[in-house]
Amino acid sequence: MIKEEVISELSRLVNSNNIIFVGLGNRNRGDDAAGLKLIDDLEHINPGLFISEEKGIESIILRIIGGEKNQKIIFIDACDLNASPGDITFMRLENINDNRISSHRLPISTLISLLKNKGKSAYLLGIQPFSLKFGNGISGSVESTLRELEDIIRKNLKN
Amino acid sequence: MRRLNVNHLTRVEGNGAITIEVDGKKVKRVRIEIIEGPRLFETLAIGKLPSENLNLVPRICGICTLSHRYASIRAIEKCLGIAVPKKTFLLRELMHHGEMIESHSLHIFLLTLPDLFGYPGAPALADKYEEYLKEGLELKKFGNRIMEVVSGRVIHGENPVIGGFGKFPTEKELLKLSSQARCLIPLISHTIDLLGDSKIPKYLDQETQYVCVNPPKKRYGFSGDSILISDGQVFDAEDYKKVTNERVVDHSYAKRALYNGKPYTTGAIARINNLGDRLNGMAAEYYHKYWNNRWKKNPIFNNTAQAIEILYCLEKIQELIDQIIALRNHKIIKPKKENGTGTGLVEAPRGILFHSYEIKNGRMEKSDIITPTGQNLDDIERYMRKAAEHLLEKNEKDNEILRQLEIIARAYDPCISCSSHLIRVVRK
Repeated sequence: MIKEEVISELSRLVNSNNIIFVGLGNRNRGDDAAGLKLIDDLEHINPGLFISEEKGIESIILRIIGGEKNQKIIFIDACDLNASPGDITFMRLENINDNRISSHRLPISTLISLLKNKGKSAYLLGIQPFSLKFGNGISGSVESTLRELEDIIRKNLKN
Repeated sequence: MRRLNVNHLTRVEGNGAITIEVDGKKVKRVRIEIIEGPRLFETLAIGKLPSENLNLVPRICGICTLSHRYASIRAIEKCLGIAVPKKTFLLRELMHHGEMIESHSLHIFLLTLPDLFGYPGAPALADKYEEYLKEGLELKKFGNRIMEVVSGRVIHGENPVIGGFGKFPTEKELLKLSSQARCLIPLISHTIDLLGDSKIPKYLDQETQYVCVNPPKKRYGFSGDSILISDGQVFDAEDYKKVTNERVVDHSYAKRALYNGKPYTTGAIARINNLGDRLNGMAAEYYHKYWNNRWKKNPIFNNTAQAIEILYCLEKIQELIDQIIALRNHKIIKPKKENGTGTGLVEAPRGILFHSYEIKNGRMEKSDIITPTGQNLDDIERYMRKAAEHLLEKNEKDNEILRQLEIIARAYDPCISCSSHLIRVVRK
């Protein structure tokens, strides 16, 4: 069950329609596919509001720097919260201490700094995985959370 | 005596540092320290099947993954007596051009332009220069798309195999790439103008030697079976050790290279300096517009050279695709023998890359891999010394000296642990 305050905050942001969901993860690693699965299930509603990591970091950045000011970018990913599988956290991303440098990946702190420059804000919708093992599918508890999230997003996008 | 340090070279792959020892206004020593641990790939290859080696060696680098794969394929096919049909050769060229676009656009737009505009990093470009950020990302995305279509994945694609391809891309996929390449030409053209018109200080100018692959038939390109030096000498691929003359230094895990006892430079600037008069089309026009004799003396021109190469690739890709779709798919060509030696040469984005193997009874017996950054390190140190001497003479502050040294490191686009934003000055 998703907590009432999370439902309320997520509904408020989705209702504004000035929002982009970015699904992160690895489809081959069990519940790590959660973010990608949610995007799969929702992007047909409005492809402009949903993008997955599989489209490449360049596509994500082009999408999020191109939108309106005050846009909210919500990253969805599996996250070790030290909680029960399927539990979620929803938080605004600010001042992330991640300065790892790599030519392969953009550090999340750099991405957030880019968003700030564009007058946008970033949020994390993190889902506690049951397993990240290669070859596993999405677990029942995470699947159930994804259905709840899908309902919240669908309902508020319609409004 | 005091030391100027760049403890962490940033925006390159791996870990590196720069140390300069200064006595008054005299530079006593310049060292680029490659502090990344030994990778041991050459040893890991021993005893493996050639096909296993082919899946192993691209992991040396996530940026030039296809250059390593291509060099490895070329070496293995020489060892095993495999001659591939033209369609496979052209598709390999296509994937390689995609990697060149991806890597060069990453370097130019995300690592170099912030210096030019006086910003601390690429995200800040979104402030006033969003167009360049977007253009760089569009080009990078396109390079990735080519690699995905031809090699099967953006990074470490497994589709190019010994003797051919696991699966050939469809005509529809290829024609879409050709059309996208045509549309992207205006994007890079105005960036070449931006870089070509930028002022590059003369204090760094000094002669050096340039080494690149010598593509056959007097063409511009990124693969071949001989090595061209700026002094006019040409060496067969199998004689690569006469060019590289590798040695070990005590302050670095990377081996160094000297040709004729002197440092040399490899990379886009070496290719443009040695082969620029072989360019055609718009790339040739831009070459003639901006190239001059200072390009032979100053590594900062490497940025413009890379931009011209992106344009060359966008034009060449259309030509390659026209040729590829006219040819029939074919089965994978089987080896004719189990023993042999061979050296595969390609140009990685950062310069000439050597994979040299011996295969015995169908297993890897010996492996020697020489990467471009290792070859460039002596020359980078030499140019840094020149810069430091000049800037100390001008009484520049330490921070400015280090900033200028970072710009030199960045111009070489080294594949260790790029330029330098995390700096500490240690005074003794």
